[in-house]
Amino acid sequence: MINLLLKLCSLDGVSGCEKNVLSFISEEIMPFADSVYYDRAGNLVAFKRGKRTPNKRIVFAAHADEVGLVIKSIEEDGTLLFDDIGILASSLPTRRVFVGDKRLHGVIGSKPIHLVPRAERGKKAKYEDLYIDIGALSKSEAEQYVSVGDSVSFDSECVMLSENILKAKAVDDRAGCTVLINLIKSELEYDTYFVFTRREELGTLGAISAANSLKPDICIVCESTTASDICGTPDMRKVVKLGFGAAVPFMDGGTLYSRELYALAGRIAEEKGIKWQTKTMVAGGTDARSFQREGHGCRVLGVALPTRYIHSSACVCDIRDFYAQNELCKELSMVLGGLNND
Amino acid sequence: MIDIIKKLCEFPTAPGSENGILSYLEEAYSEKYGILRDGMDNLTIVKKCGKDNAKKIMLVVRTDTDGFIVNYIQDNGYLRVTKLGSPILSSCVYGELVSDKGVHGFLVPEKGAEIKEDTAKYYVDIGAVDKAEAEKLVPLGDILAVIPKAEALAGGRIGGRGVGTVVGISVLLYLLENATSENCDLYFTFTTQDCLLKRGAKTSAFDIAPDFCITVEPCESFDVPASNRRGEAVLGDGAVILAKTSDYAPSVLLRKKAEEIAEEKKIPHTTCVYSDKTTPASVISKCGIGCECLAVAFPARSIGSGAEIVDSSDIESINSLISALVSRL
Repeated sequence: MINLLLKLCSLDGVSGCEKNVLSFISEEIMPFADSVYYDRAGNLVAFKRGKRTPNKRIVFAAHADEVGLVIKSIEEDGTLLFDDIGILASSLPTRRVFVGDKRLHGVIGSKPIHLVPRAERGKKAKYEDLYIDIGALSKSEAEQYVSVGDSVSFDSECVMLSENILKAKAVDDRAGCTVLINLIKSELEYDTYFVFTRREELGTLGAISAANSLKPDICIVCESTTASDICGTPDMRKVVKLGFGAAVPFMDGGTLYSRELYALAGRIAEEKGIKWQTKTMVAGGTDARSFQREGHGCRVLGVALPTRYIHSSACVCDIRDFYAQNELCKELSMVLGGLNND
Repeated sequence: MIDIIKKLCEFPTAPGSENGILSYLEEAYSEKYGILRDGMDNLTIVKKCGKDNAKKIMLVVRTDTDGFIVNYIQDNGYLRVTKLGSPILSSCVYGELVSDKGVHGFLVPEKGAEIKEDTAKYYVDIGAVDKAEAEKLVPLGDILAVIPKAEALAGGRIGGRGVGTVVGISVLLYLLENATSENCDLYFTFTTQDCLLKRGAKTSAFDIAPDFCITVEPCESFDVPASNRRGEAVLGDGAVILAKTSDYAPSVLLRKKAEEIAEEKKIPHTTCVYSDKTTPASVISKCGIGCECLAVAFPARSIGSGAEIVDSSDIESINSLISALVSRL
């Protein structure tokens, strides 16, 4: 399972350019699902029969896209200016990147310290101060390889920092995708739909279409979430902590989750000995907001992987939490279809 | 009127914690009428006219008021909370809160803290001696509602905490009992999570697909000391027909019809623009295939505070106006 996660994290799939990721997932699940198709918005949908027909339509969702950059201008000196998709500029200087489908090597440049006035040192980088250097010496040379609108993803190796701690890009939300793939490969209790959504980082756009076409009654959104258990953060602002299990939020910036499903997840986790925690701050947002409020609406639950430095080139997570996320989703899949319609 | 309003005050609600009032309504009306629930838990009571292919009129009020959600429990048993909606903290301070499991507590500012609109400086004391006891009573994610209260005041006014919400519900219950239409099916919808950017309203019309929708809600009355607002409604103005809000321009067709009926029947009314107010009519008008929406309001002083005050004559005007409008659509 970890190998599958590592493979998925190594693929490039900046919002709007998720083709590589979705193709890989499609091949991976095809032998195990009853049907696999792309919807009108390009989300990848799979349906798998279980042993029983559920009382409610169950959908598991994870987003296939990742944060990244997009080229907005090619300068006379061959450097590239860019816009962001979900990344803070301060995390970017000197990062290695891949530009476009051809994965051209580049590096994010900024002024060296020698050229920054003393009064400005220590200030956070701003987008207007940054550019991508692909080694081109002129605009015409750069234009041979790059076009405005090309996506830019991080060139970041997936490595285990210690026995249980993984560093990789795009853990948000290839971890969720891996959980869904694993579910599809397993024997299911109830007929279940799965959707790998696009453009979550652009405002949960893919999920809007998916919610309207699949019309779920219950949607479980498998995600990654901010762990701020780092030096200097007071306990009540740590949100979630690595090593404390799967994160099941009661609320985030976009959604007040179903209280019944939240209680059910906690109860199942306790019964099955699965480590879990909840978020101690209301922050962030996921595809759940669109699933909850599109069409006639549905009950939503989030099951997330605590991740440090989320939305950067170096996400850090604990694989024991990942296993807990996976186990909790599996256990939920065994009971959700049996819930009544009240 | 005050009796039903007092009865409705027995059900403290906050976004996501509307089950008490919705269960009460469902139990009270399910034998006589059809009941619909959707994925956001909105409750709709259906009153059919008995004709095939009848048009559908949806009448909508919210059921929630601003509240809090528990997001952290300290070792000494104090709860830390996040706002659900926009409760005015300075009006909630030292006020009583209740969870839907019935646990009571008080919102208290930290010692020496300035009273600001930032929950980081407040805690909720439920009397628990330590974290373990607090967690057992009010686990993370539990919702705390302010306790509504209404009293009859001088001049036919009604005042208290959460009055805007319960008065709105009472209007819809009046209409449920009294409004009739020969040609239209009537859908009385009680929405959830209105204080969270009208989230419940967003799904409420999807399955119903109404032809017309009328929303009922409070609007700020500015007849208070030091207010210099002009052109907006005040207590005693009657039914307020909203011509424009911050995010919506209600149906001109329905607005003109409402104004004509009010003139004809001499129902006190006024038409106003509220540039900084949002209305569920905005999201309902865009839900599914869309519909013609009208927003009707009643003036209320100090909305969101513990001293919301409405005028019972305005409520009577709304009841009369919407009843007449519904019968002619």
